[in-house]
Amino acid sequence: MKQELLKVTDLHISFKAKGEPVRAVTGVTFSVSKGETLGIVGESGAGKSVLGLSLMGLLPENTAYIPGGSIEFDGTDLLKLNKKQIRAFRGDRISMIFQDPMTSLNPVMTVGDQIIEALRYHNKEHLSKREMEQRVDEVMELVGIPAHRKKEYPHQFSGGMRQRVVIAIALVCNPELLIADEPTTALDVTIQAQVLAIIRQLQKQLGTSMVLITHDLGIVAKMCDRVAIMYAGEMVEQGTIEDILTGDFHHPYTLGLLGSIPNLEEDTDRLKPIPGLMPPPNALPEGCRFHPRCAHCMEICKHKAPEQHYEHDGHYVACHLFAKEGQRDE
Amino acid sequence: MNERLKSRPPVKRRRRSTALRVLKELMKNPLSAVCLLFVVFLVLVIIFADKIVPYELGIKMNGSARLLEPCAEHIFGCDNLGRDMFSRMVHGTRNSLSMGIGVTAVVMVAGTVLGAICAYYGGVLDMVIMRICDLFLCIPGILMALALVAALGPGRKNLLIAIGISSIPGVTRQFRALMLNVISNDYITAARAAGARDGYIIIRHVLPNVMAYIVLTATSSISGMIMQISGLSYIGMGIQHPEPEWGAMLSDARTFMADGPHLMIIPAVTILLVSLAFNLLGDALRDALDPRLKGE
Repeated sequence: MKQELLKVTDLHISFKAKGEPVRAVTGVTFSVSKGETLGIVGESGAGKSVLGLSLMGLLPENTAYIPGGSIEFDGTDLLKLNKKQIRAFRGDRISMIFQDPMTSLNPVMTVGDQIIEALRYHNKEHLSKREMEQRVDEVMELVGIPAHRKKEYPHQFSGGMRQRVVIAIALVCNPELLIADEPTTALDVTIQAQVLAIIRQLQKQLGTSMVLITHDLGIVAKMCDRVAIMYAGEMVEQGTIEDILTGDFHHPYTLGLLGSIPNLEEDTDRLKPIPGLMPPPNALPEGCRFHPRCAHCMEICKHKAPEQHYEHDGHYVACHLFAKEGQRDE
Repeated sequence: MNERLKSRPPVKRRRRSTALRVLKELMKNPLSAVCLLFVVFLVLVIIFADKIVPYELGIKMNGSARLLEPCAEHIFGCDNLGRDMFSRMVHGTRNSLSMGIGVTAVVMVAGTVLGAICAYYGGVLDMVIMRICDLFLCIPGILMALALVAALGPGRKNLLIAIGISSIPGVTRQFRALMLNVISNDYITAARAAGARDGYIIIRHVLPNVMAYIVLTATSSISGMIMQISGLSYIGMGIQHPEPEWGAMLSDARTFMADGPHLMIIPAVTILLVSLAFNLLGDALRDALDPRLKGE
């Protein structure tokens, strides 16, 4: 039986704004089991990154707030913890890989110092200074950086090497959950493949669970066990990687995403993009949020938000097309 | 506990090596080396002023030596009241330079602390502090200082308070903007994600990234501070007569420009050299502090 490590239930995240609050994430529910990788996929502005930050309790304090929901990590509701308590989780049991290695490393600190920091904050094993240094060397070798480079500054590393440093920082405390927010978006394709291979290998080696936030379905196909598709702050489809990439039971948005990837086996003159743009979170349409862009839009879609319809346990689609089994026509 | 003790020496060694590295970097360039030596020399003058030349020589009036030009006995000559200029210059260092450095230090520290708090925490606190700064910035700095000294009464401490209060708001604003820029970087979020405390983030991540600018601002404002002190002293609100003070000496000398040009040239050139030395040293220090500018 798989053990649930992270369980997010009906999570809402809003931002204060003039007039109405901006609702970035509305009613998101998902869970991550031990050792599993969940991919969260969506366009820019779907609320993926905000969701990722909320898992770490890192939302901007002055503007963001959480009107409802819970984030349970290993039985503890992270939303009920005070600042000090949540700090004990951050970097230690949950850690994060950031998107842009050019800005996520402090330019005036040596990389060794930056890797050792998290160890220093959470010295649960009471390591001595020398043991910490040893641990840093280990982690650096693990991600493929020669340990003697730890006295160097970030500007002396290339983009791919920097991202390895970022990964080393995230892994130094052996976290149980890793949140990777578009970890390879800023890298070129060859380096991207290397970095992903490193993440996957380390994840297997250390048994870490991961939430992988991305907009690249190719990465999802390679890395994830389960996938959640996000659109305008909602999860419109969730299922295993096979559920999402194969079969007919899909949200029109998922189909749109899959249709906008070039296929090597078929001859295609033109990719099929999804027409229109995602609505801004302060002007969400009534009913189904995808209806203005949906090719299968029905009358009911304009008024009533769809419920989740399950194909089988663990794969659902939030779309009126599936109100009755097999009603949808291509 | 034992482990903690064990862990101390390497940390210390590393710190010292950073200071040494900066020092080495400074000594590499002859210009910055000269400036550094000059500043060290000035500090020594401040400390050993009494050993170099007696204070009384600069205070005691001597009618027969009025406007005496530099000679073997009085190497900087004498002023309009027959006081030894060398003694006045040396002891003036204590007033002008140490006050200048002192005020600058107070302003920089206060500006950094307030700026960091505003930039890091934001929200209501930031708003309140910034509006207070705006309020102070509405009044021209020198006028503000003047009003404060007038209210508090003249004297070194009050001078420090007055110039401090009139300069802190501007510096706070400037540093806040700088730090906001640094804080918006991902590595600050990354540090928070790693579980760092707020204070630790400010000290270890934010400050080192703005240190170069703070140093530069500090060194380049020292000469301005000296001039502010001089200005206030000139109108009798700062350092009181007959105590020597460079700016006041410079102002007094205007009347005797034709009869004793050395009265003006000596303090003017000194202030110029001091400002120049601090500015150049600040530039060099900024380069030495920033590892990105270090050639490998």
